[in-house]
Amino acid sequence: MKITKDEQIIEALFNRDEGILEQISNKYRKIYVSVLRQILGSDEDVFECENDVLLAVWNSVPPNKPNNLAAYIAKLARNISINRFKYNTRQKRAVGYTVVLHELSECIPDNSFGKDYTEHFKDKELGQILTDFVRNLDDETRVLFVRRYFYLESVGSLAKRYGFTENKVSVKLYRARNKLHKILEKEEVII
Amino acid sequence: MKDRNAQNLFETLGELPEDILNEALETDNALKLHSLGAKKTQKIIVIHPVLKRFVSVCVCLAIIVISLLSVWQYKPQEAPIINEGSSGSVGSEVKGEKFEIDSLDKLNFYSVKKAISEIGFDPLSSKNGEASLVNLTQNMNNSFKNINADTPFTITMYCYFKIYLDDPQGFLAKKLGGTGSVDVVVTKNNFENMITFKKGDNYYSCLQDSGTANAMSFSTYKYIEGFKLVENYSQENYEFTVYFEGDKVTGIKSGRFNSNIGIYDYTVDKIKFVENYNVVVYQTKTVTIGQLEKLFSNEKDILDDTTVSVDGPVVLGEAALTNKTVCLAESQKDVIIKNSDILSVTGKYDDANGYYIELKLTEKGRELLKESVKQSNFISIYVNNFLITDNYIVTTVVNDTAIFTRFSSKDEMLEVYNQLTVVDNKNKIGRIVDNESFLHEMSKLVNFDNYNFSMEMTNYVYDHKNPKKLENKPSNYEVKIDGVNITFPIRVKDLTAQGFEPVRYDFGIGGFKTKQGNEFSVYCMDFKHDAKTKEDYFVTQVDFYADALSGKSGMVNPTLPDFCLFEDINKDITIDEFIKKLGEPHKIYQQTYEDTSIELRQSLVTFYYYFSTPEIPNGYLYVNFRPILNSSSPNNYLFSVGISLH
Repeated sequence: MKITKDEQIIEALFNRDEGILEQISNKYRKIYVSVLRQILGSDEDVFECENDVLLAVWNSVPPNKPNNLAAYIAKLARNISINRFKYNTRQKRAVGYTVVLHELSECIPDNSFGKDYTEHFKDKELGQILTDFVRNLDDETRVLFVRRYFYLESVGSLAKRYGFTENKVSVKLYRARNKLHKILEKEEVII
Repeated sequence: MKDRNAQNLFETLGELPEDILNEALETDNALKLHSLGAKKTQKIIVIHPVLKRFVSVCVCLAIIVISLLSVWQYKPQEAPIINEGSSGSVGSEVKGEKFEIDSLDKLNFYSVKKAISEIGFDPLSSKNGEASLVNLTQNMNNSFKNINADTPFTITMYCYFKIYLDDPQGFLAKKLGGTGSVDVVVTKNNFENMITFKKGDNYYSCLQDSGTANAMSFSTYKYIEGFKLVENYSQENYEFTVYFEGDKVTGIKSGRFNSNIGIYDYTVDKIKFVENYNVVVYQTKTVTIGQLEKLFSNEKDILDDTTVSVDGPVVLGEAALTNKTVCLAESQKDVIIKNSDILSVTGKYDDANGYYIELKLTEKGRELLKESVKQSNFISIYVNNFLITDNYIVTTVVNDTAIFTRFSSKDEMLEVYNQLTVVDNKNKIGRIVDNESFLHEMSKLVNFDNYNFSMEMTNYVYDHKNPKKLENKPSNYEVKIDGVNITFPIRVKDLTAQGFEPVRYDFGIGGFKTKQGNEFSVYCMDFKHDAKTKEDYFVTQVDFYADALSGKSGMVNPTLPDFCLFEDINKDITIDEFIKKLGEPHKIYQQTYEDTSIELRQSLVTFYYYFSTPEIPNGYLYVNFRPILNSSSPNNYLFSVGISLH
């Protein structure tokens, strides 16, 4: 029987049913390929990383038992593509990824330039700060922010998806980045 | 360093909790985004597992809809008409004598035509406020409406424009039978906001999926099938977005969904927007099918415009709506032939002329046309100031007849013919007559190519306008199980009282044994919200397949009871026989199952029939068929019957 529920998929993974990988691919390929493509750009790299994603799912579940399988797989894909990018230091960044990093650089407080920003945040639990920030965004902005900076969806695509103008999406994201900028500054961890 | 910091920030965003990530993932359209805020303010309702299961079953079915009718569509060889909605064809000779609204496509299109005829062709009148934010509430329940000639169809906004299709391989060109000029109407109405494309005798309509203040997007996921609204998420999806600016349509964009990257690709299947013909009106108009049919059948008493002069059997149905003129000229300012100058229009074919259109004219009409032909053999035709042919038709005028020739194809001839006349729809649709052909089609749907059955088709008069509404009599909701009658809805305790023994039962689902020791499954719910114990629940569905699916062959479990419904319907009935007994269902769902481990592929087909009783004012009777696709003796096996609520 075709398995469609996440619980059944996870159960099959716990039962070490290799056949489930094909069904995971059928169900979630669109999501993780989209993430891989946005970061890596190259079809060849995407193709190679596809199997890495499935392998990572196989190796990590169990022991992990994700509540949201789609998000979990997207996370794995994101990490895999970032690692691949780091591994191949001469690799050219995908345009979409470059643009996202450029936008995120606006969030970095001015006094952190020239410093390794994240090093200073290690003790300040940057992850928790970001989570709190995202949770406190209004619904629309939160979805736009996560789709843009986690899933790397383009502004044009977001506009189309939600029936906004590209300008509206850009303004909302800009305001969110400004807000994050201020929060990071307020944390006073920066030099 | 700035770049590295941004990189680190990006990486840390990867640690966001999965619930946030999932929310963003699941909020994948405007409707969901807009409803996010609303959800948070709603009172939290704890859904009982029984109801939850019931709902999930319904939703599951709803998500994967493949319309069987689209597969069964009769495609006449003479005229390849491939619209999934209404269908019609003309033979070697056609006459516009009768007009019938047999689909929502036509209802939508001709409602707009009627509305436009009443306001003339001024671009705007009686605008009631701004182009409102599109009504995102999609109530697919409307698809179950029992539409008949008196059912009011209300449009609150409508627009009309034209597009031109260049690419014969494009989606619309395939649906509409080729390239060329296409009429388009968009309405906000009391069923579903929809866009209808009309090319000649072919229609394609799909429903709104999202929108903004200045745009409406329609998705082919949801389309029109006769009088049904069909959701089919398994097919390739196209989107049409119509852009508005005040009282004008300013453009239309089409895109094909690229599932690999999750966005629409607007570089393919382009369509051209014809800017000269568009009108957007914010005005409420209500019509019925009966009114439209009378109107477009040219019955004078329905015509609002009484100035139309009819000298004979005028069949210019659409043009006869108003006192607007039919122009046969190089420009609309030249020779004008009025409706009253044309006696009839006929589409024909012969070896000498190929496909041609024959106009029989009054004397005045002949003189006017002769004058025009003297100037040039190449005549454009305008109807109500709309250019419908563009300088490629040669006319000859002999006696009272003008012959329009040089149509390059039948489709081209039909396109002109249908704009000059009302539609001669024969109301015919093909049906598959046996199980094998059904399975053959189903196997194609699931790419299961082990079947090579010969297709048998038969003409079938499809009574769109009168879907059978079950009569309100108790026997309609009775099922005889191993000789014992139960009547839906029945409480679990009453089922037990009739001698059925629960072998396993919890809230929602369970199994019962008959006195003969045969088992069947039940689904239950507390739809009156008065259950104090699980015995108070209502049985809303009985299944007669039990554990049969565990068998590779998909054969029926031998311990199953005999069962029989009203009109002697039992498990051996075929889908077609069932339809003959109960009429066309109001909605059909089809879902495909696959179990690669045992190489089993099969389908579940559900028919829904609307009914109403004092106890269940808005209910459905539904029956499930399970065609087993890889059985050596395939059948479409009725295995389940139940009721549900709106």
